[in-house]
Amino acid sequence: MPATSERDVVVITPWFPTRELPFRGSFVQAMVDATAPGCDRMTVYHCDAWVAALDAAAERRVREAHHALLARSLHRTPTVGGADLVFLPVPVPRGLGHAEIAERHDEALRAALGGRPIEAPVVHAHVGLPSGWAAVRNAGPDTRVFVTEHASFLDKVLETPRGREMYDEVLHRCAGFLAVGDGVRRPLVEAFPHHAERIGAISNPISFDQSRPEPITELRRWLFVGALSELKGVPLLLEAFARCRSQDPSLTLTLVGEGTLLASLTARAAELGVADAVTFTGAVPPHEALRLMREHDLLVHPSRKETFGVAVLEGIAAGLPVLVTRCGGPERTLAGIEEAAGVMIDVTDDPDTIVAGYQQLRSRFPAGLDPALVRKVLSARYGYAAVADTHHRLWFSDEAAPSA
Amino acid sequence: MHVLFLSVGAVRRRAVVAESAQVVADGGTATVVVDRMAPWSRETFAAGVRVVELAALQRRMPAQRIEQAVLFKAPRKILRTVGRGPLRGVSKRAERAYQTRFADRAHRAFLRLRGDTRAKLIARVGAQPRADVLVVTDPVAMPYAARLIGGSAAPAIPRVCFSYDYAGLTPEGQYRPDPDFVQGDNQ
Repeated sequence: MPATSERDVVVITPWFPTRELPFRGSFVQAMVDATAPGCDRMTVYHCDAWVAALDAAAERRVREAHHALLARSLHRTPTVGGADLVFLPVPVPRGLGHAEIAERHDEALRAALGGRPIEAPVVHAHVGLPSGWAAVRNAGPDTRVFVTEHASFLDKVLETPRGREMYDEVLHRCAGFLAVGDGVRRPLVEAFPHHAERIGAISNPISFDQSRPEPITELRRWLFVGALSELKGVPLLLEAFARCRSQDPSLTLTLVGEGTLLASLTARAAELGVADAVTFTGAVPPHEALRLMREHDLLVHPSRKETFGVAVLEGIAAGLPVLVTRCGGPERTLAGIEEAAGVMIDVTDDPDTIVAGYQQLRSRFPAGLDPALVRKVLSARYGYAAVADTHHRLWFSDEAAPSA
Repeated sequence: MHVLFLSVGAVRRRAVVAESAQVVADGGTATVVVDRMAPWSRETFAAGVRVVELAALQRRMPAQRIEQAVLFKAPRKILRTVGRGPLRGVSKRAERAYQTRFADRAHRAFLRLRGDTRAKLIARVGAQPRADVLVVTDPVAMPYAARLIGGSAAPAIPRVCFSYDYAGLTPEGQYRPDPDFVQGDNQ
């Protein structure tokens, strides 16, 4: 790598939006977009796991070829915020555990770096395994490594002794560790109580720059953005929507996302007689999701469990009132402005909870909400400037990671 | 500019389809080399994208055509000619037995002896027309790509990459993540 400056940052991430998976890693992209302008130079290594059915002999052949190709195949490409991106595929045999995958990332990054350590003074990795592991293993002696953990699959990462051992080493060797949401931080503190004080908190940056062109006049067009899964409470949402629509036939529901429940939800919508009012868009690119948010009147987020709940904040940023469950993340992110943002309901197994929440929200709309206040408060908490400032203070001074 | 996508592993299909379409949209030409068409049956390539199936090329190789004629076509024809009328049932059983007990085994042995001809076929595809950019799109394609650019008779391909979007080229219209976006759900 070329000579470095003090504000030279390398970001290592397993996720960044691609044509194959346009959603994956949007939050990493947002972090880069927010923080890169405050750096002299930022290089993002997108270590993209390429999974294939490979036995040991095939993996050896692929590894040799991969290393041979790397010399000619790694190009710096401009990306958001003025950063450069290096796209690095990591061949991964199908069926490996998180620990073994992290080892493949470490090896691929080392090969990409030509065996030399990273010289930049700051490396920021996204998720402890695989990228945090690859970062601490490839960082130079004077490089400070920071890690942000977002993964919802932490339990899987930590369920094997090797995974815990590697994670412990990442925590031990990094200069700062940030967890996105208490749902991520808590299992880490439980698994590694000796590192509890080192595990700080950060949020994903949200852009509050663009306001909605037309104000919302009625809460008619419902929107859900997320995986079509039980965990996200989508079946309950559909039942609740049908009950509300029986009172008001003008209501519509758009479900943005994909998941295993698509077929059963489609069938259930037909059974409930609301098929003509329910739209399943499938997965859509991020800019399309934003457009849909601006074309709807209400974001319903009935999740059962959430580490942060970025979709809720993005809905608010797009000007939507929210009907959201107390599922872990939103209680914290919307603390103090719940009433101004919409209505918060308990996690239950009863669709009538959502129905009652909707009726309450409608009775308070619009006078009982204060979207301008909500945007102002959330922008100060989670806006690009706030999140960038936190990172820059962490990277370029000796300030400790912000506490949870 | 001619871009050759080496996609013999048949994974990351959405990216291959989208990036090959982008090549055409950028005014270039694209060839996608796949092993078999079956895994791609649900994909729609953009107009102008040339898709080459290695299995089809292999079937047209002289050795394979002779092998197919000797092992399968000729015996089948003989048995069907002989097995008319009352001998039809006997002939059918004999054909099945011949195929499972001898022909299929002999075919597998032939494939083992012949070895993997895909590298040779890929080199031929890569040379006509000569590729300006080689995009390696999956792990299974990597050994073939390494041979393609590393062999003594290798066609000179100026640029190699793992994604057209990250080829180090910056034509207008090339995919760039939109900074004005929502992040969606990180679960």
